[in-house]
Amino acid sequence: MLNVDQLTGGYAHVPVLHDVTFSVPDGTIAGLIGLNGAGKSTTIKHVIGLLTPTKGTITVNGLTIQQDATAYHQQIAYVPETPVLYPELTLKEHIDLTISAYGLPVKETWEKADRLLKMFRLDNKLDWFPSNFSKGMRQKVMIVTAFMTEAKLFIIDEPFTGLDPLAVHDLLTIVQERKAAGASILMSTHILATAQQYADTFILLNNGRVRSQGSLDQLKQEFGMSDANLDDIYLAMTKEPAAS
Amino acid sequence: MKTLWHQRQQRHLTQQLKYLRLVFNDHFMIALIFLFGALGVSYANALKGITTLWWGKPVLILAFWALLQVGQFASLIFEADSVFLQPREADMREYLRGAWRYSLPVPLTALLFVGLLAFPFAVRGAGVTTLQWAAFLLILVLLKSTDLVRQGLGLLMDQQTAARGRFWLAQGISVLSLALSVYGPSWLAIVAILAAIGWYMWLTTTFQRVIRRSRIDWLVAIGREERRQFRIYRFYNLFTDVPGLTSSAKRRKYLDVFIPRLTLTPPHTFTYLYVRGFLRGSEYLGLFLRLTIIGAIALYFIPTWWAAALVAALFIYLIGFQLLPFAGQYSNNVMTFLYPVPPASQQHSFARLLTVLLLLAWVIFVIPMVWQLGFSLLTLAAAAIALAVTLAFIYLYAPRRIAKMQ
Repeated sequence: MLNVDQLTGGYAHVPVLHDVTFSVPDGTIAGLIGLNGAGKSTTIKHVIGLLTPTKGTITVNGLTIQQDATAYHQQIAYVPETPVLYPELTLKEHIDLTISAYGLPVKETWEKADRLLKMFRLDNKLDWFPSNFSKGMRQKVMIVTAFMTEAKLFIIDEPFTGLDPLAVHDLLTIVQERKAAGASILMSTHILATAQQYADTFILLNNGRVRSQGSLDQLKQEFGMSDANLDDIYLAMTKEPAAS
Repeated sequence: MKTLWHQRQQRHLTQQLKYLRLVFNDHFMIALIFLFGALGVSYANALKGITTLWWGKPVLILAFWALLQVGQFASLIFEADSVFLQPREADMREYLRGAWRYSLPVPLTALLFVGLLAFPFAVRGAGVTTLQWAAFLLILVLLKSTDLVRQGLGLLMDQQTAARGRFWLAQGISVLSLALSVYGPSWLAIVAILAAIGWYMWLTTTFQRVIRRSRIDWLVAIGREERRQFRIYRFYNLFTDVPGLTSSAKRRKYLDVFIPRLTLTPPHTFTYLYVRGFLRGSEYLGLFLRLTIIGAIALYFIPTWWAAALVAALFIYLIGFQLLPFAGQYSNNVMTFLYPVPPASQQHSFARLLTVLLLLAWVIFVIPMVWQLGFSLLTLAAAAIALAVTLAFIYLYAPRRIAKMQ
């Protein structure tokens, strides 16, 4: 369960987010939707603790990062928009390193990892260096290392760009598995059709504020567009005059 | 074409200067000064008791013949030239003449510098007269200039077979004229100079003749220039990051024996990362090896215990200081920030790597110290001082410095 309460923040002296409040309950997938520059990535950076809020609190299962950074991070798995890998480590060592960092049981975790590696067709590339991987493969490595952990909150930034259709399908499968197991998933994306299909709730960000949030039905009601899809609502939102 | 050459030369020169400034940084200069100092003192000492040696002349000839191979024709030709310069092929003469002139200074300076350094040995150790040595150096200059003409000639079309013959001819003439200049009476040296001049004249006229009817062999020229530049940039890359020549990680499986077998638990996370990063990255391993080897060589030539202690301590400091930025190697990787591992554990892991490396350097330094100074209380004192500096660096200096860097 992720709780973001009246979050105001951004980069040093450049406030990007204003009074952002939303939550992602256990066992739900929340889509974080907004234009470029709306504040999606900034929100994510606050949640993972890279940025410190100027106002407001962020809790994951009741714990803030200030209380115990290690325990806080233990609950989170993150798939960044641009894959970040260690140039000196092989794929196998990336998995070992993640096991080590999160203190995971070696044998069981490797079983999980093997399944994910097979799914993403990386199982025969365990001794490769990241420099030999294509962008999509790197993205897959990030997904594997994130989803082999026992995290309670998964944060996925723009997961679908650069992945082949099969991988998108597989990613959505494992996301739903985790949802069924009770994890919260926060996913920022531009691919609205996919978001509409898989996310339970949506958080529509506009100019650093939450314009609207809730299930698709709630959004339809709020925008007064009874037979609209997420696309239409999104376009309607972007056409609204910017609230100053 | 002349303008084009000048532009390229200018740009190339600025770029080289930029890198050379980085290569000869403060620490490397200090290390070099000590190395040259130590070598100079022992060279002077060795010369004191020397008498004419039978192997003096052959060694000089062989050494300088080897040195003649250093220095290549810098054509500064790019891959794109094969497309863009095609229409101007007939004008390449001016361009190549410029390239030849540009290629001269570095090898000639190297030859003359080493030639002057070897002068005392040539006179005392090899029984060469001053005049003979002057002739020897003059011949070296002529031979290198000719060698560069030969290399330039090799860039032209249909010269590949002839080039092979010329290569062996060049080696023969080099050894022969160098030998003639130092063996036998002085008039033989004049014959040797004339031979070198003749060789130079013959190759330059051949060049003039060939270039009138022959075009540049773009594939050969581009390939050679690329290899030449790659070698240089790989050297620069030992000291700094050369863009384009990414300091990509190498697997170096043979170094895996140095990787400690640790359980995969959070406290070991950063050790796992740092050890592999150090052994497989190009930057810090090279730096450690370079300074350790230079330091060990310098210590081998230092006959005083306190000077040895000072040099050993200085090199330990230099190695440690240059390794410190490695602590922050992964700080721009967001994943290291997200690991549920206490930050103190990361500092601890780096401190352990630093300890192992500096103690290793210390052990390596003690070997030439004992070799040179023998087993004695003073040797022990020198080793102890170096060890004290090592420990002070690890436990007192490094933590503060790293805290400041972050």
